[in-house]
Amino acid sequence: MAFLNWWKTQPESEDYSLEVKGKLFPTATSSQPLAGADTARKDLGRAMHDKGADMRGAMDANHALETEILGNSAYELARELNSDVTERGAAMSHRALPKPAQEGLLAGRIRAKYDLQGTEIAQDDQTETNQQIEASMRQSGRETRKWLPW
Amino acid sequence: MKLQDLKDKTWETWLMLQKFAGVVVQPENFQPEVRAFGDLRYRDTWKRALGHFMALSIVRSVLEPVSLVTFYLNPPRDDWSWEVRRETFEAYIRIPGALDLIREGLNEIFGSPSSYQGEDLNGIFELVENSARVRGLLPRS
Repeated sequence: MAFLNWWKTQPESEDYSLEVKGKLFPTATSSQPLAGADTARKDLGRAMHDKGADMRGAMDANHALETEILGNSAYELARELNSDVTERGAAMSHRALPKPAQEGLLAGRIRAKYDLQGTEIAQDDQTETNQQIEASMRQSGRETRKWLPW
Repeated sequence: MKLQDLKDKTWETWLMLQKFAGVVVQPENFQPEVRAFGDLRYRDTWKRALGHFMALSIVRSVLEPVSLVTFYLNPPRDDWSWEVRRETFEAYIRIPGALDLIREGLNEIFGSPSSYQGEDLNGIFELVENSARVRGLLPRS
C-alpha cells in the first residue's frame, strides 16, 4: 500500500484531476488517461514477447513491475480507491488511477523496456525464461520506485 | 496438450489469478471452482475452467487494448494457451465491458494501420467468427 498511504496524505488538488468536488478519491470516470501510457505498455509487451515470455510469463512479470512501483497491483489499487470497481472497471482501471500512480507506471514501463532489451535472457526452458524476465522487471520497478515520492 | 498438462496449467493459472486478486490462496477452493464447469473426468471441463481463469487473469492484469487483440486473446500457435484460445475468448467476452476493450484495440489498429503493419489479426477474426457461429449469428459452415 505504499502509493496508497502516500496518496492519502496528499492535499486534494486540480492536478490530481478531481472532477467531483468533495470526494476524497476520483471516481472511475474522473481521471484522465495519461498520454503515451498505452504506447509504453504496448512497447513493453512487445519487448517481453521478443525475449520469449509466454502469455502467463508476461502477465506475471507485469504484475511484479506494478507491485514494485505502487506497492500493489494497478487492479488492487483501483479497487482500493473505488470500492465499486467491477471486472469492467478493472478492464479500464489503468485509466482510472490517480495521475501520480499513472506517471509512476509509465516511467517504470519505459525503464523496464530498456532494461529488458539490454538483458541476456536464456530461451531454453519456458519457466526459466519467464522467471528471468520477471526478475528483470522486478528490478526495474525497484529502481523506478527509488525516485518516486512514496 | 495431455490431460495432465491441462490440469497443471489450470492449477498454475488459478494460482496466478489468486495472486492478481490479492487474496490468500485457499487450495481447497480449486477443485470446487473447476467442478462448476462440469465433470472433472472430462477434458472439456478443464479447458473451460482454464479459459475462465485465463480470461479473469487478463482482465486483472489490466492490459492495454492493442496487446489484448494482438497477443493475449490471440496467442501465437507455439504458446500453450493457443489450445484454449476459444474458451478464453468466450469467457472473456462474457465479462461486462470487456467487448469495449476489444473494440478499442481494433479501432486503434484500423485508425493507424501503418503503425501496426505485420501484426497478425487472423487469429482474433477467427475467434470472433467462431463465436458468432456458436451464437447462431452466422450460418454454421
